[in-house]
Amino acid sequence: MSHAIDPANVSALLEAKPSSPRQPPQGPGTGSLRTAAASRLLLDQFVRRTVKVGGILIIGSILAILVVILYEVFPLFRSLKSTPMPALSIRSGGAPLALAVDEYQEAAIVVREDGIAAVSLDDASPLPLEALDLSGATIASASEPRGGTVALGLSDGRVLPLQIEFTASYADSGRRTIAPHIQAAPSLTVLESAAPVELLTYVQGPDGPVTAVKNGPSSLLIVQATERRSLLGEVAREETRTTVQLAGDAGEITALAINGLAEDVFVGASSGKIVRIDLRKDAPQIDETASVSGKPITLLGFLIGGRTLIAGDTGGQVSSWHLIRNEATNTRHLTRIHDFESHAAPVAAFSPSVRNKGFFTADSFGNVHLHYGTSGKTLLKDKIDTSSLSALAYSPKGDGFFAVSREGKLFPFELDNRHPEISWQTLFGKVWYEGYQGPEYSWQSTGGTDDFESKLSLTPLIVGTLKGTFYALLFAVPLALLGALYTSQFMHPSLRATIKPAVEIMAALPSVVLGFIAGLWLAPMMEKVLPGVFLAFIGFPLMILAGLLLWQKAPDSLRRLAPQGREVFVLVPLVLLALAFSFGVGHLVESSLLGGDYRRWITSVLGFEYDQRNSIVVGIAMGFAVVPIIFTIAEDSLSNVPPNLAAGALALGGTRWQTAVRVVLPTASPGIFSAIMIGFGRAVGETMIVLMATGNTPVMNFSPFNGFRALSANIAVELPEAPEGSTHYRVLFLAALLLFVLTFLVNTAAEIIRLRLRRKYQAYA
Amino acid sequence: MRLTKSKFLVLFAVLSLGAIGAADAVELDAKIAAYKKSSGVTGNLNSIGSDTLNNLMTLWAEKFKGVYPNVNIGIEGKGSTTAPPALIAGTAQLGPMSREMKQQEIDDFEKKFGYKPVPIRVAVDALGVFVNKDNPLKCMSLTQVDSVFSKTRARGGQEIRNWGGLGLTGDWAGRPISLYGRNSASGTYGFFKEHSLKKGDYRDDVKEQPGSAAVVQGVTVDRFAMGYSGIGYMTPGVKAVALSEKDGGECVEANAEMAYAGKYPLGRFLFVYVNKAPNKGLDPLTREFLKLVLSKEGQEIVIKDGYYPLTSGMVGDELAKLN
Repeated sequence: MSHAIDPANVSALLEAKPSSPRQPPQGPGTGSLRTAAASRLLLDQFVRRTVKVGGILIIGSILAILVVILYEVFPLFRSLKSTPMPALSIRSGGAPLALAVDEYQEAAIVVREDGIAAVSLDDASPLPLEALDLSGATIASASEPRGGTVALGLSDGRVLPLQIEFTASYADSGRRTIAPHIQAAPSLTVLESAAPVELLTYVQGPDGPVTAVKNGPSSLLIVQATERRSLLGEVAREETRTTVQLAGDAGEITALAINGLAEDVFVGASSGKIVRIDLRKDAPQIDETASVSGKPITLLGFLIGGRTLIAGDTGGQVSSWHLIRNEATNTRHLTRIHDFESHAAPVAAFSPSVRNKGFFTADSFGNVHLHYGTSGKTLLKDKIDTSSLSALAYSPKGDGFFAVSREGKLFPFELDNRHPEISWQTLFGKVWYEGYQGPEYSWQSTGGTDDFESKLSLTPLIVGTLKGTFYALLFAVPLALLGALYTSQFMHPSLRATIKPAVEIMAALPSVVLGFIAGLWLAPMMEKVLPGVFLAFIGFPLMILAGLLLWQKAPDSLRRLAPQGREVFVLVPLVLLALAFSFGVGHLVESSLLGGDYRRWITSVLGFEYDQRNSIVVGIAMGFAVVPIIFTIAEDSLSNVPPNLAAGALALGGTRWQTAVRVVLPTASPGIFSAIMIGFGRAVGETMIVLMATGNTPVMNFSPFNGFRALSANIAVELPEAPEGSTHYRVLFLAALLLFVLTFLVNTAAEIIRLRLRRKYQAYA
Repeated sequence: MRLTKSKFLVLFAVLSLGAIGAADAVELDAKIAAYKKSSGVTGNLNSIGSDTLNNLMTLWAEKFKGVYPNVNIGIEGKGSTTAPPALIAGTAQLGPMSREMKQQEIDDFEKKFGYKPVPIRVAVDALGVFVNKDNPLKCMSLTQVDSVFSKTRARGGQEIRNWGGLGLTGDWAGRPISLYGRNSASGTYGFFKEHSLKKGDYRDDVKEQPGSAAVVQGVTVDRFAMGYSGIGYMTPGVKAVALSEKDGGECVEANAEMAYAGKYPLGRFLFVYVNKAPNKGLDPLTREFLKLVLSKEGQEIVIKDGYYPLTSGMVGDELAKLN
């Protein structure tokens, strides 16, 4: 009996046990009967096993999919590992000022007081390197190596920009040889007094190199060179020099940095303040002063892209800063973004990654920390056995780092650190990205340049998926359920025999076709008649009611055209009429009440922006895809309610409506619930319609007049471009996992509720 | 599937040609030599990459098949970012790209082959900022473009959400600007981001379209829309806005003359990347294809598709890279 009322075909299939083996005939029988029984038994067993194997295969393959997804996602959350390698001793020649290594970690260039040397990282043996002519001076200071350029401050008041390069050559055997090279640019005399250059910073800006040099306890010299290349290839160089004096309370200059586009110079001072000097003005001038802490600043540096400023002080504190523009006043302000885990001693060395927003800081006692600028997390803390650490280098590929001590000891480390940008916060929370006004949920996975900061928040995508599903179900559920109720309870059986397959055929329509139609035809159409679409919600019931009243007054000859069960023939023209009526009134409403233009009205009165590719369009298109599946399952379960129940209700004097709503509907409710949930699952996973009909805009709102970006469409759009094994690739798999979990949870919950409902209403059947 | 798509695109391209050809007569440099047929060219050639170059690749492929009937060419154009992985995996010999390769992509290629991929410039493009044909807007500065498309506004402008913010009056003034752009696989997306938005971020409500044709289609049917794509996709339904580098600067039309002179701020080269080992020649099939592209016939196709041809000097440079 319970099987008879089991409404959901799908769940019935799931639960169907292979029919129990028939008992062999009792007692002695004739030979032919026995063989027939035996062959039937064999067949039964065969079928049972086949079904069992099929079921296990299905469960197995679903589990396999889950395993594959988990396998791809798992490395995202693996914590990083560093392995110390044997330390090397390089010939000592004064304190190392800067260190650079090649991307294969085979060669290093060390800048020391007496000159520059290249060493092999295999055995610390010296490698050949171009001679550097210092004209008798020694190297007093060096800027942070950046984009392959390091600027040397010489003891005679000159600055020497130096290009560092490692070239790889391949022998016929395939063996790789790394050759370090340096190339000096013309030196620049900055201190006329020929005093040593103690502190400098240098950056190759878009118009030419900019150098800033400390030329007094609290004054600095800024040299801006403008290089213009004519069409004939000649370079014209112009140079402006400005001396900037810090205010008295700033203290002595202790650190210098220039941002990537050479728009500002940042000066760290012994008072713990950062002074920003604006270079975009005609003459550089102090624009603002920000306070880091009370302690002298020992380090200023930029992450790749030149937009995130890192500050370190004698208290060991490490913080990151962005330059945020105030929209109202159009001024820019240094804003503190993150504080990283502190060192116990003054921050002495810094090395940013050239691939991502990661960076190393170290204090002189050998404590090395790896931080990540986007997430504000400190990923690694290592202790190196030295008390005089003086320079650091993050390997270009991000797979190792090197520290060098004052005595010339080089400490190499291997690093397993593939996905440093991932944390729960960056995946699901608000993050303050470079250039943003505040923390935001944002999805922008790739850019066209290396210094792009990936924005991988899945929250807008989850919101998008839920938003699309909500609008699709809003459209589909009432339509499909009421349709199913009418078809199963009121429609003439002969009509029903054609209507039901016709609706089911709708499901065969490829979703790419639906998406195409929605994007290119429905969206512009809808834009023309939107007020009418909303009015139709009032227009339909009104028109149908009016039609009913008229129908009752209609002469019998007319009424005979649509006997009971065939009312639909009257209703279809009525609905069309209602549609035409709503659209007509819509235009009237628009011109009289909405000021002649509903788009402007929506913007100014409701505060939404109307987009042509919006959730209403997708809701209708996706609803169209979901209607057949909800309709057909709901219709089946309604039709499967035992006729004796309905007959009993009718016999007791209930009307057909009462019978349908109070007896049939509750009994079929488990099946209807399944129908809606299966429709939900279909809408969550729907890809092509969302892809084509929305603008794939990762917005964070539920406005029906905007589009959205769904998890599924996002995977389809971005997987072809994501390099295998990259963070982007794995995050897309994580999106797939989320979809899987979402549908799994919903289906499980639905099944539990369905069973409850079934138990509750079983009593009546 | 692939064949039908390319045929559809050819049809689409041919249909959109008439108008552009008439509006913008670009002269081909007379010094570019005609293509000379070579012998023994057969086999399969695959191209995976830029959507901006998709029509051009298809047209060149048709021409190439006209010369060498025994050659099969497959063309896939989902976006420039799909080109490097395809070249690295060896699934394509030609990697059309509408931007230069990123360092990371070159590194990945080098890791596999030990040398860098070779970029061949094949055409000049003036990336167009498009509005609906009924839109009265004539000119924008790049700062305004940034203020419209970007949420970080690295050029320092104020946010512009309505057409009034761009100086339009009357009915247009209060209308929100509806934005269309490409998906992140696209080189055009990357180029526009780097040069117009100064590496800033796009607004969240820029509708990402999977192809340039879809962007133009969106702007055609959406009266209040603005979008960007390669100039070759321009149709009579949209018009390209003249651009100036700075606020109040000289407005420069998107045309060949201005793109060559470097005055149009979004002028760029379109590339085909190939896998060529140093000191070794290209395989004959790829070489002949590129020679055809760099010939008089190939560059005439560039004009037909709405892009701008290379000059004979550039053609000479590129041909030298093939040997």
